[in-house]
Amino acid sequence: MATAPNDAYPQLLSLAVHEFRTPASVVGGWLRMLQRDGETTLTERQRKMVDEAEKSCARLVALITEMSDISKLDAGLIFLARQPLDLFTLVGEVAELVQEAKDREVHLEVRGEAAGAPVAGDSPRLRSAFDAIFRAILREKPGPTTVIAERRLDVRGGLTSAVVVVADVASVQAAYERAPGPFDEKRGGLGLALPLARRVIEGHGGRIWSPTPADGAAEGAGNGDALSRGSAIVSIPLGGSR
Amino acid sequence: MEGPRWPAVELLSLKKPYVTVVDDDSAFANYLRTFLSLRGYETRSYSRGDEMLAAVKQGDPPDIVLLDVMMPGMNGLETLRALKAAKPDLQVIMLSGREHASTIVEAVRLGAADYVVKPDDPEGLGEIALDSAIKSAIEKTRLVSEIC
Repeated sequence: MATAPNDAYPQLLSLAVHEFRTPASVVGGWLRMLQRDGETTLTERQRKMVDEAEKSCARLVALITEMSDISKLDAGLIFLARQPLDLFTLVGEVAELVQEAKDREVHLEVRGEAAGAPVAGDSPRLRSAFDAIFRAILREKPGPTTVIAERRLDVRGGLTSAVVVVADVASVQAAYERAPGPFDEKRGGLGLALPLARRVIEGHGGRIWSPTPADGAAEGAGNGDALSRGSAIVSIPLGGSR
Repeated sequence: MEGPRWPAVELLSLKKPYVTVVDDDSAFANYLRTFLSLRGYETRSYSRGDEMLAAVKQGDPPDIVLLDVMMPGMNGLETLRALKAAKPDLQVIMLSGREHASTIVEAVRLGAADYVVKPDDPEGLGEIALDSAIKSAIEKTRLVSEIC
């Protein structure tokens, strides 16, 4: 019997995870053995080479783990925890630890409500999700600036949601008010952290979006486009998430 | 830095514990055999479950079997079932890149001593977990042999 397309995708991903993981295990294992081999002393130069190879191997393994998580979330094989937490507090704690783009003097500052967003959620996965989103936005900024993560409560149709607007200091309100467009999760250098982040947010009944580019904004140029790529808005309903 | 030595393994018996690796991926099997040899185990590998089963039936059972789950021909769970039928006290540790709960439950139900995800973390914690599972299985064998 043919596999339904919806089933085929997670199965393919799961198989890919398995097939990637084994050679990654082997490469990592040989490198560790080389590092710890008591019979051979590596020169400083050789040790640096092995260190670099180990770092890349670790990246590969992290990527495989993310792929595995995506495959399992899509297949319904893992479930998000439902622990009581305060989303605004969590966001503040995550923001404190983000180091991305500090070398370019791009800073992340948290504003708005410091607490008061009770959510039944998966704390470690939400932390990873916000970490990835913050890093994605900070990476977009070319030079010295401050990115704001503004926490606010939003009441619509009787439903209260915790909203986090991540945008350049001068654009927070504009980003929030602009019509919602898709959040671009295909950004280099972040592995699969953004596709995973979206799934985690959606798994909490929430959503992530970016402001639509302003009319006439060319791809890769103009304020409208910069606002779109350089901002993200996350909304998660309070209380028991889906 | 030299890797850790495992005196407990050597003290358990005068002969080196004999571990077989059953995995169709020869690169992984080679790596694992080298890793285990460095830790004082005697090793052998088979690329198929039926080859392992034949060796056991011919009177060449190892102390421990490390058995891959996904293999051509008899898969890991089928091989486990056949191995336990041929030699119920054989200690089999399932080894896989996947950690599906249903597979783990089935493996334990069929009598697997343990289920270890193929080591792939950069810190080498997976290797420590594997070595710990092997040592635990050897200890179980020793206790059983003392009782019987």
